[in-house]
Formats: sequence, structure tokens, C-alpha cells
Amino acid sequence: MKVLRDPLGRPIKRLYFKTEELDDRCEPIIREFMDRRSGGFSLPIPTDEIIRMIEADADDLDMYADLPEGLDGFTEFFVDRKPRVQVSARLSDPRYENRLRTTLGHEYGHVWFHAPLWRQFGKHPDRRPATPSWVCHRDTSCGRSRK
Amino acid sequence: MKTFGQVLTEARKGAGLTQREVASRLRREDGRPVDPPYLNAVEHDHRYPPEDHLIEQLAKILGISADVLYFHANRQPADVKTEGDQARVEAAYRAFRKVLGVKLAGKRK
Repeated sequence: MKVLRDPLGRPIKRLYFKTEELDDRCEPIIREFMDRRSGGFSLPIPTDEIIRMIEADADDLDMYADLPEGLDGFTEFFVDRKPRVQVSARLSDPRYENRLRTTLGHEYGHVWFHAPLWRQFGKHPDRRPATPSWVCHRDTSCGRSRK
Repeated sequence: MKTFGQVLTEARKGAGLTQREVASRLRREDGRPVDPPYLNAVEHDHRYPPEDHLIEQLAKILGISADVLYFHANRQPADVKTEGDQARVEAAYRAFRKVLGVKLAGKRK
């Protein structure tokens, strides 16, 4: 956790990982997944493996979502079920394969690290979020409430 | 009751395949490949269930009975579309309801 300040200067705790910590946590996830499901880990990681990982841990993945220009993907969190991930249909163009992989990896980070916290808080009435869901936009990587 | 898209999605995930992988193995009647966005739209119930020949291919690729897919598509498999007389059709639907554990809804003349 890292203590940040809100616009009024009040301390707020935020989940925070250093790059090395993320590497240490993320590499075993994909390695274990591919060992278990795909006959072994190999590089480069196939895009379809990242898709499979998201589909295994998310409630829904829409790879061809009609998202606004500049928005590559977003993850919607819920207190009572797994998250829903949307990726822009624009990224299905083979020219954007690398951007697609980056976006899928980014969204999977939300699915793996953030969604369980969201569901955990949802179990406590006094800590339950004010809105039923929360959307993280890929372009800003920060939240926006949505009713 | 689950929708066709939900059943298709569950079967695909169960087979360990992505939409891209399934779409690459599907062929339309004229030999053209199926676009992954089309399959995605069907899975999200934004499009009607596909034509019979695609349902047959999906069943083989995903290792699911085509009858189950037809059932959730609210269609009958081609081989049961026969000129059965009224009594046999009624008997067939009675047996169908019995196995499914459902009762005839409302009264019929």
C-alpha cells in the first residue's frame, strides 16, 4: 500500500507495487496458467493465452466493443460478481496486434489485482462502495464512477 | 433458461478455445471464413443464432451436441423436420416435456 493525498490533502491508501514486485507477481501467474492449460510456458506469450486468462477470471470479455475513439479498453468492477472487460474493436486490426496485447495485459492486471479487492469491500456494509460498479479507462488508468 | 449465446460461450470456454480460434475453423457455405466479431456478437446475443451448417460445425469444434445448440436456438434439427401426423407430433412433444420435467403451459383446444 502507498499513502497518497486526495484533492483536499487527506491521506488515502492506494494499492501500489514497484516494477520488480509486479514482475515477481505476474510472471508466475502466466507461467502457471500456461503450464496447466496450454502444455507449457513459452515466449513470446501467444495473444490467445492472454485472452484465455481474462476469460477464465472475468465474468465477460467483449473483444469487439464499440468504444469511443482513444479508449482501447476498460474493466468494470462489481461487488457481487467478477469484472467485465471490454476491448475496442479497432484493435482487432492485425496492424494493432501489439497494442491489443498491451491492452489485454493491462485489463488482466485489473482483473487479477483489483477486482478481488472490489468484491472483498462489497461484503462489508460499512465499506461497500457508493456505486454498484466502477470503470477504469485504459487511457487514463484512473477511475470514474458510473451509476 | 440460458440463451444461445451463453450456451455457446460456456461450450467454447470449456473447450479451451478463444473466439478467434473457433472463428478461424468455421466456414460459411460458400467457403468464406467467419469473422471473430460475428461470433462475438452471437455469443453476446446481439445476433440471431447462426445458420444450421454453422451450428453443426460449432458442435463438432466445441465437442457439444448439435441438438443442445438447436434447442437453445429455438430451432429443430433438420432430421426431425418430417411430415409427422398430428398424433405422432403430440406424442413426441409429450415425451419431450416428460424428459425435461415441464408441464404443458395452459389449456389447448
